Amino acid sequence: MSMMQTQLSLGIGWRPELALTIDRRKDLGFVEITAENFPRGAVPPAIDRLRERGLAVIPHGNSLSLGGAEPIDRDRVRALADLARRVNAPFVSEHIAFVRAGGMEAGHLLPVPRTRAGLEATIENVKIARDLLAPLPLALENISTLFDWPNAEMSEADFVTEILDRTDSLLLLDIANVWANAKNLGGDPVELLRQLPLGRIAYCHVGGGEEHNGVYHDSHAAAVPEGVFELVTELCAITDPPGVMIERDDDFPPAAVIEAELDRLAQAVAEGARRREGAHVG
Amino acid sequence: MSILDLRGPEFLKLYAFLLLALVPAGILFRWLLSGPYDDHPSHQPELDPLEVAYLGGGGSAATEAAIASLVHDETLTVRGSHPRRLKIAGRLPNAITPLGNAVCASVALDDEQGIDRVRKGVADEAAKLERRLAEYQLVLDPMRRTVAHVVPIVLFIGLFILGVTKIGIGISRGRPFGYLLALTAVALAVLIYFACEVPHRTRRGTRFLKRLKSEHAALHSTAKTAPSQLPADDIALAYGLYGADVLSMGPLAKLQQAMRPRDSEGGGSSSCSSSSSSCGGSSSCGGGGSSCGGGAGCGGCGGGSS
Amino acid sequence: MSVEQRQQLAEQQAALVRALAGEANPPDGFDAGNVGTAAAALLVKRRRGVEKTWPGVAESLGDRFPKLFADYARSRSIPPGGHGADGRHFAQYLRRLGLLSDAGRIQLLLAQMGGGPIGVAYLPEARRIVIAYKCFDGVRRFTLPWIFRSRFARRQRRIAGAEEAIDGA
Repeated sequence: MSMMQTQLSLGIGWRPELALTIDRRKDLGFVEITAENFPRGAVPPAIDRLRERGLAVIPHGNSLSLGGAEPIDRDRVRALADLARRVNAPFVSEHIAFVRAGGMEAGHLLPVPRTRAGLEATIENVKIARDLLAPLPLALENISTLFDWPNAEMSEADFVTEILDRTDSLLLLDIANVWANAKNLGGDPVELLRQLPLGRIAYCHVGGGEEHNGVYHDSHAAAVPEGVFELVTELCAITDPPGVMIERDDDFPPAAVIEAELDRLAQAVAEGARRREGAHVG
Repeated sequence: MSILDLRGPEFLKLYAFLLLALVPAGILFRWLLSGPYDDHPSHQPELDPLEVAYLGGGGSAATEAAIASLVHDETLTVRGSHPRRLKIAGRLPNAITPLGNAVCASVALDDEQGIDRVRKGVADEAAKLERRLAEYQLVLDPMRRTVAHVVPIVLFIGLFILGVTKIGIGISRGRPFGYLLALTAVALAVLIYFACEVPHRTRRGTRFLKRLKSEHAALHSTAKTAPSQLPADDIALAYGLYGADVLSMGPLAKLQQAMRPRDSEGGGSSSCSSSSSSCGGSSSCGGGGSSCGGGAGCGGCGGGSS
Repeated sequence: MSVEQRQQLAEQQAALVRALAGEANPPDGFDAGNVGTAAAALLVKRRRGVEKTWPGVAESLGDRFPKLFADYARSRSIPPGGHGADGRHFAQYLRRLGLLSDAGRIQLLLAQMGGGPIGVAYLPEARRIVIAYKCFDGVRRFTLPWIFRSRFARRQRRIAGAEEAIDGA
């Protein structure tokens, strides 16, 4: 089932370090901002300028802990909603993950156990969030992880699909995370992609990382591997995502490198689109 | 009958009235002299970074912008502490501005040179930046500047002296002068304000500067958080528009302490540590992302807005 | 979902978080190697976060930063408030050990001034006191020379001497 989504095209995660590069790039359709970095809706003028140029701004949360056993903090959701209003966002995004438990902060996005309990807890939290955010749509992101829970009752694709279907949420498809999980935990990334509810895609993440001791770390502090771009092409050969963006969080390279990465992403998308259209015609 | 012969309460009323009337009058006077007010496109030239700095804060801001760009490309280094001094550290870049040249010449006079000495030494060269700004009427011409500056000062000197004289009379007659002392103190405060606020830009110039600041907002964000890859010209422009705020990282941080001893100590620190959320980076001090140094996924710093 | 199920889920998640913080072994069934790798990566991420938000502190420690941070991280899990708060606690930890640089002390002073209008700290390296006060356009500060020999200086020398003895042994 396909939904009419906001058309976003090419985008990037806004970071102050990249502000100038982003400002000068002329083919971006949207930027994503990390919600926790703009408390009380205090958004830098550079972002308002992008909005004036017609770019969409999407708040992306990291700290709701939707997959946690504890009910989510409603104030955090309200803050996300306020920020979305401030930047006139078409929707907001968060993760299918938990970040705190037993009174401790994990400091990281952790996978939810793929059990009935995990499913129900996540769905309950997402519904609370959706009610507070209404009528703003919510997109949920699949995370990458170095380990799996031992008690999985279903596949990640089924888990994600059921959550999205029962809460009527959108999918923030992190293509790099699918690739990373396939690399670290096994599986065919294209198969994993096909099983996800691609009709619900709001936009896609593409980020880089590095390998240490045979383990791939999705750090967003390095170049995007070619394999991820190839997976982007595979995805675009199947479906037409409304938007794709690059994520970079650390070790910022010169502007030319960022530009090249955006170009490569646009190319990967176009290649996939050509194959998709070829398949229709042929 | 002279004004000083008025009885206490009447004098007080008159004095208060004069104070209340002259403060807005002084401000209005300066405002009236600050034309032209328009910002017609034909009057908006391409300014180079040091001219923008001059527009923002006169000769000393332009000098500081030149110093900042020279420290950034490592032609100069900042040495010592309390007070910090400049020292030549590298070859002069090929494309150096006349003011930059003068700064280096001033620093080279001694092994290390204090920033204030440099400022004084290049004041003449810095003043030349005014030429084009005056042509486009973005800054006041010297005559108008002097009149706008001096007239309110004179008025308030008069008012202050009046108050002090009457207080003297009051003391000699053994009369209470408490309220008058308070009002005279206010007059003094206003006098100091008018003396320190030197009119500089025209209304057109102020609007032009505001427009520039808005246009270059992205430069502000990047200069504050990742200046190392910016060319020296961008640093000078960032300084000219946004001040020492942009000198928060790396070698420029030491410069920030030298030029603006208030505010944060290097590296966007104070604003970060005082902000409650800071998911891998921080709000006002930049670092918009969640820093995912290794590990699965990104973000989830668990901090979040409080 | 029943209360017991939720409770069990909460416990499972808490056990994992504790394991990643290095406070406990991974729960049964988890691949210990993978969890260990994740825990190590988490520490690096935490450290990098503090390095970015409190750069003066990190820089002044130089090579000792990773080890000192690892010791601190073991003693204290991530506080609410993200990397900024984590850095503040780390700075306080260093101060207790007498290892906080002047730059770090100034940053800590500014961070802790939140409530009050004025703050004072001693800068052992420069042998000055810094006084910070809130002005309408920000926080200003100035320093004064500290004319008394401080207990701190003697303690610094004692620590340095102990370090040298260990290195020499």
